[in-house]
Amino acid sequence: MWYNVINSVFLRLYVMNRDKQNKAISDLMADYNELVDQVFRFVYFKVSGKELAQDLTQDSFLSVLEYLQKEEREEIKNIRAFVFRTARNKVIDYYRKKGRVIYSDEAVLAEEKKFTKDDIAIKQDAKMLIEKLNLLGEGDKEILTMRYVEDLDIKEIAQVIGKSQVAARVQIFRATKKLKKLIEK
Amino acid sequence: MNLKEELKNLKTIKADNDFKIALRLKILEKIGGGILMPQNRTASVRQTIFMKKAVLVPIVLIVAILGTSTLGAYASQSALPGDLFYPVKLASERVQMVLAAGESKKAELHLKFSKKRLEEAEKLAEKKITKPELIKSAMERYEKELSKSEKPLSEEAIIRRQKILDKIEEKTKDYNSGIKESVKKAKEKTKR
Repeated sequence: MWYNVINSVFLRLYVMNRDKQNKAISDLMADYNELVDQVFRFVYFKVSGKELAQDLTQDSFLSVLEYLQKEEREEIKNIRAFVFRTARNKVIDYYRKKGRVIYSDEAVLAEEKKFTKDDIAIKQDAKMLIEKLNLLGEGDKEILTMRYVEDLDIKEIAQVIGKSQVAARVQIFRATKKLKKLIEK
Repeated sequence: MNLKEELKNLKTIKADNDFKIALRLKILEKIGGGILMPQNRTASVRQTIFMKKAVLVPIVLIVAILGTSTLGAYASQSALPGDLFYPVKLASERVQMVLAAGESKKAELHLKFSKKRLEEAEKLAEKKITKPELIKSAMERYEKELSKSEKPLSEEAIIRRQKILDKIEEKTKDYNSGIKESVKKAKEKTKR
């Protein structure tokens, strides 16, 4: 309980003193638990283990906070899309450091993505579905998870992937078709 | 079940609760620091002073209110890293730092806080069950404060520091073997 009191005290201070900065930080903390799980899953489907996914999730949140605390920065209209975009960049950086390239059309890193993760209890059906998702290209997989697992709307998805809303919609349609085919095989 | 519903079921995959709590604490700690010490001081001096005052007044009030209660006293005096009130303790120290006039006063405060951090690390190291990461981060804070105080390490501090580092190593070993033991027990349970 005291923890929540302290949390809300700090948030209230922000609301009193820095409206713009406050709003973004309040938004970040308002649905903190849900947002952490969403970002964690988004990253977890891209990398090879729970620990790594948690590390990258943490990096993403701390980077977002650092940015929000800057005196001069652009206004963040949608904090969820901003956090997802940051997490996406963190994963790209991680693979870049490892000397890999992701976001091509092919299902890259197949050997790493083969679903052998036993670090989280996942039902058999879900495991099979993730294996099928991993057969898709990275872009298709992420767009489907954002749309149907994390319930991001088209506008948010377009912001995350840096494309137009029309392009995002088309990609979702095509990716859904591809996944259906893979499942029916 | 259709494809979209199946995808929705993946929501059951979640991050560890411990992880979420630890990250929330880190964020709160950073929010506390951000209020008092904005990173880019591009605003004019006048604006900065006004902002500091505007922020400090409520913080000082809160610290004062908390400080008068027993719980508050505990929070601001005896909280250790990982405790719920520890971010409040750090925030109150930052208030003191901002209020301190002159570089020498600030250096004195850094030295005072570095001693506190060392004591906290020692207390954590003495605890039977402590996450080694907490002691490590207390030591990092100690070294950060010490470097800001611009004072060299005393012989006594070197010995105390070494003892804590030994404890961290010891605790890490205990902690890892503890985890292995729990995993083993959990596996045995699932077999039954």
